[in-house]
Amino acid sequence: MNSQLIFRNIGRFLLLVLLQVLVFNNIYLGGYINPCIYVLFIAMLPTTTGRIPMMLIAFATGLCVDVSTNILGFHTFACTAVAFLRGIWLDKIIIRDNDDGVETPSIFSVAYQQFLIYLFLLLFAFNIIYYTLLVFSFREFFSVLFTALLSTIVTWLLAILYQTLLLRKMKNSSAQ
Amino acid sequence: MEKLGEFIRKHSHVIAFILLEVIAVLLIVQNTFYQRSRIVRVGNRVAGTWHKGVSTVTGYFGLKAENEYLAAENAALRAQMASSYISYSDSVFQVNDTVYKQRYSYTDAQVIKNSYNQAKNYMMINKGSAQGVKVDMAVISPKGIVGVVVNCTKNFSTIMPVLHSDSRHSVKLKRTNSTGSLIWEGGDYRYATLIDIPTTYPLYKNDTIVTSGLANDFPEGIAVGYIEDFTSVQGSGFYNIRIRLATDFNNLNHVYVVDNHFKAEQDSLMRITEGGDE
Repeated sequence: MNSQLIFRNIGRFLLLVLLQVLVFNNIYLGGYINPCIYVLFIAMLPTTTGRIPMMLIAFATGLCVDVSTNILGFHTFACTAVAFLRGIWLDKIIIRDNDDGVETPSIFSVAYQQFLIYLFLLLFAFNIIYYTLLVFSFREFFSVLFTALLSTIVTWLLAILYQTLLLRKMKNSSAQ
Repeated sequence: MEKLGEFIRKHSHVIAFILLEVIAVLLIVQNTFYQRSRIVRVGNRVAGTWHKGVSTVTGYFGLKAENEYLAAENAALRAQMASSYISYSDSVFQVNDTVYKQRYSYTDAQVIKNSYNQAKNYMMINKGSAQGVKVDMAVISPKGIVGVVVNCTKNFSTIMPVLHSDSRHSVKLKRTNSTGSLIWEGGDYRYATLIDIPTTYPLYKNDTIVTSGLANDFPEGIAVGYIEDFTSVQGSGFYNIRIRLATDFNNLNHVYVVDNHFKAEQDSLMRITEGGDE
């Protein structure tokens, strides 16, 4: 059971990071919206993951994406911050109402409104940190905010699509 | 002391968080371009092979337009061939042999990775040190200026294009020959900024900007762009000019790497001259 969980997460890591590096890093919707789908991996780590291991995993994940984009540090920074925020928000948003052991946070494992809010907040935090670092000027605050918001919405929709496409099958098979 | 231990235990995740973020910031800050490209050199080799594979497929999509450019360029080059001129005397060829020495030679390369909407863009080409590409060589496209080689592995090179916040090139107005600097302040990849042109010269929209040849890397007269818009900066005596780049960085496939045969000689002369000042 436990090893199955680990393998599933490793599989998700490979799938999402490869998807990010090979596909989404080459996509700029409207010229500047770059969806960061791999953040979903951090959002979906098992709830039993400790806070420090989670940040280390996020750091490594961010670094993996960074290496492929020629700009070191930006994804790493934002990703680690997301892992930190997840540690706080997971308790407040999801665990609070589901104390009977949620394994992997997803649309199907917890109340979907909660998960969608949780995911949106994480993605928005990621995007705002990422774009602020990238642009690094307060003069362009509103354009950063706008870009981050659009990028969050696109990534959010993609993440929901990902979960509905890939998880429903898994849920059906595990329920039977 | 016990309280300190307790505090650390209780907030160990915050401490770990701060530590990791400091490392990430160090990664960002320390990565001036040269260090960065050294670190990602290994990554480049892997990514280069991948992107080469991808661009062999995606290259087909732009093939028609690319062929048209190449055909147009071929035609232009053919027009310059000796056979295109009527020879009034044989001396033309003697002059060619003895007085002219080849200064620039061109290596064609294919762009296999290209970014144009970040603040610091880079591109990768499929020629490296094994094909004679060296750091600091100029890169041009059939339409105009592209950038400068900043790093080479055996078979790949990375290029800092004009679309990079650190790039700065010496250019001039074709009509008046007044020189200025080409910079890029981010934003739209179709436009760049030209500074340091004194307001003593009148400007017109669509004036052509070409490379000045004052920096060693670019041959003189390579197209850079056309004036889109200009304002004179109050009190400075210089224009701030927005130019439309001649090169379409969104659609860049074939480029030429320019080898300046006299670069070493020019550089060493410059070193001696500057060394003599001290």
